[in-house]
Amino acid sequence: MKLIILFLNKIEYLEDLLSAFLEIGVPGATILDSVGMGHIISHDIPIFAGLRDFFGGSSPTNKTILVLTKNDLIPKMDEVLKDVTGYDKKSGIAKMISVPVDELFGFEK
Amino acid sequence: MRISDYLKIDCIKIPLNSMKKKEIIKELLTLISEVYEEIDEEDAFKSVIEREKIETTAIGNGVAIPHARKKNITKVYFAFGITKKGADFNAIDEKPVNLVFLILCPEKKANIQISLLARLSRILHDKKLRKKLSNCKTGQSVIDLFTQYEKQHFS
Repeated sequence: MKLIILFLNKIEYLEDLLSAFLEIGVPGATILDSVGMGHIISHDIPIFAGLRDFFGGSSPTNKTILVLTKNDLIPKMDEVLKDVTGYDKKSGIAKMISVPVDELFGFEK
Repeated sequence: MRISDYLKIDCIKIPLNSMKKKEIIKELLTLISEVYEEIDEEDAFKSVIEREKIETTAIGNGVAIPHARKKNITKVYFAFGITKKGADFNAIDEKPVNLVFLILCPEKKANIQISLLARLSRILHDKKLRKKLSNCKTGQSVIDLFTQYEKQHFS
């Protein structure tokens, strides 16, 4: 079992992505409104305002998607993410990480 | 990264002769360009003023950190000065400024700029440090103060 943390910077892909996840059997997800550190420091802290061009690609808001999933679904999620968003290392459209889950509490068996 | 590593005695002026924002920036840039021939004072001045137009670099509590990123430089240039009286720097807290740090960073090394600005702003949040700094009479005392403070607070 893994926890997938997906940072979606281009939020226009959210609906299609969630639909595609449902298609491949992702049972549910928690979606959080989030803001990247680059955007916060360059827009909310005046001394870093000169770095706005440096953080030019950072969206005002992004979505953080949390998915608890079995290991075998992860390659499919990566494939779907590529299909829907066309993301790659350089695009900055999305980033995904997986974290091992030791124990579950409050979940149905 | 230590601020004390960037402070050079020839690029510290106490007190500054100028009392106006642009003149203070010029005075600090003159210090840098007199020590480092590769720095074009006029060009650097334009860049620093352009940065000031985005948002003020006077972060409050009497501190300003005017700065710019430059394409044609390969290292960080740093100057510091203390004004005779508080100067109007359009500070975010509208208070007059007496401690002015000027930084020029290579354009391609934005990470250094981020670290420097972050370290400097964090250190200058310390009220006691600001008071000690305001009381410094020589460049060496400024360097000693930062060296001692960073040794004490940062590993």
